[in-house]
Amino acid sequence: MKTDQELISEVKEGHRAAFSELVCRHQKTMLRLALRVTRDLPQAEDVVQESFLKAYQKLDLFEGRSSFRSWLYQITLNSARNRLRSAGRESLGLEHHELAVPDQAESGLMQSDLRKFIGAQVELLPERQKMALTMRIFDDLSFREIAEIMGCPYDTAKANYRHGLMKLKDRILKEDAAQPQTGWETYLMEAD
Amino acid sequence: MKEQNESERDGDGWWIDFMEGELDPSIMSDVEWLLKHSPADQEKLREYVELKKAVAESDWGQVTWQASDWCTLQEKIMMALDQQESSSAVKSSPPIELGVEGRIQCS
Repeated sequence: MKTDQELISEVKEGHRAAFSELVCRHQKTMLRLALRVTRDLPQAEDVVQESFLKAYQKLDLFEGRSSFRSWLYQITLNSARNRLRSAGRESLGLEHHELAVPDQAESGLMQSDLRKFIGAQVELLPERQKMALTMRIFDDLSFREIAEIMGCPYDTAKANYRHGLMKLKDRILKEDAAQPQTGWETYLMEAD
Repeated sequence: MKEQNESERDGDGWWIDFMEGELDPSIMSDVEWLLKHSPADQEKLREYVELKKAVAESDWGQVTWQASDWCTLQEKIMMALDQQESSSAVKSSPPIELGVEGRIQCS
């Protein structure tokens, strides 16, 4: 399988099929990223399309100092944020909103509810911890790539990830302690 | 015990760094000893491994598409690229000039 750098060289020589291969390789990661920012699938698709077109136009400027994936990730993140800004939606963070969580006093958390609950808790993390955590866990980026995208030192990227995961664990355990028969302990037992 | 490092200062940081393959080599032997002899620490590591897995399986930012949906998006992007290239070609095509007799000539 050709590396991204090999495909980029082919694109620069005029082989457009090589760019199609790059699209195929990276579109899933970019769509997930765009969806996490815009929270709207059609808009996320538009963001991804726009980002790949920008990447194609600027490919001559890509020097290979970072990975193509992290470079494209940054383009997509900026495009998604610009789209939110132009729509007057600066942030879709839920920090100041009520969480739509099932009534736990009555039912307790079941497996699918646990998934929703964890997803909601990820959304509540401080922005930089959420970024580092989601890039590592959902997009499988290395800490070096995360640091490049976040514009921070390598150790800071790792620290953001670490703190995000610890905060998440803390919140889930607190929820678990507050509610009888929540999903987390069951999940852990069934994972054995 | 080795000199306190960043992971240790973060409490559970050791287990996260170990899970991610980022543990400071200078404390690896201590951590491996703990994992071998301490059920409580084994459980801590396991919780983080399961938490990471649970996050990956959570609803946050998931896209449940079929393979054909991804093909459609890829085609859409390449078609948009074709259109972009076509309109760039039209903009950069040489201007049409009128010759002495008023005929259209390409420069």
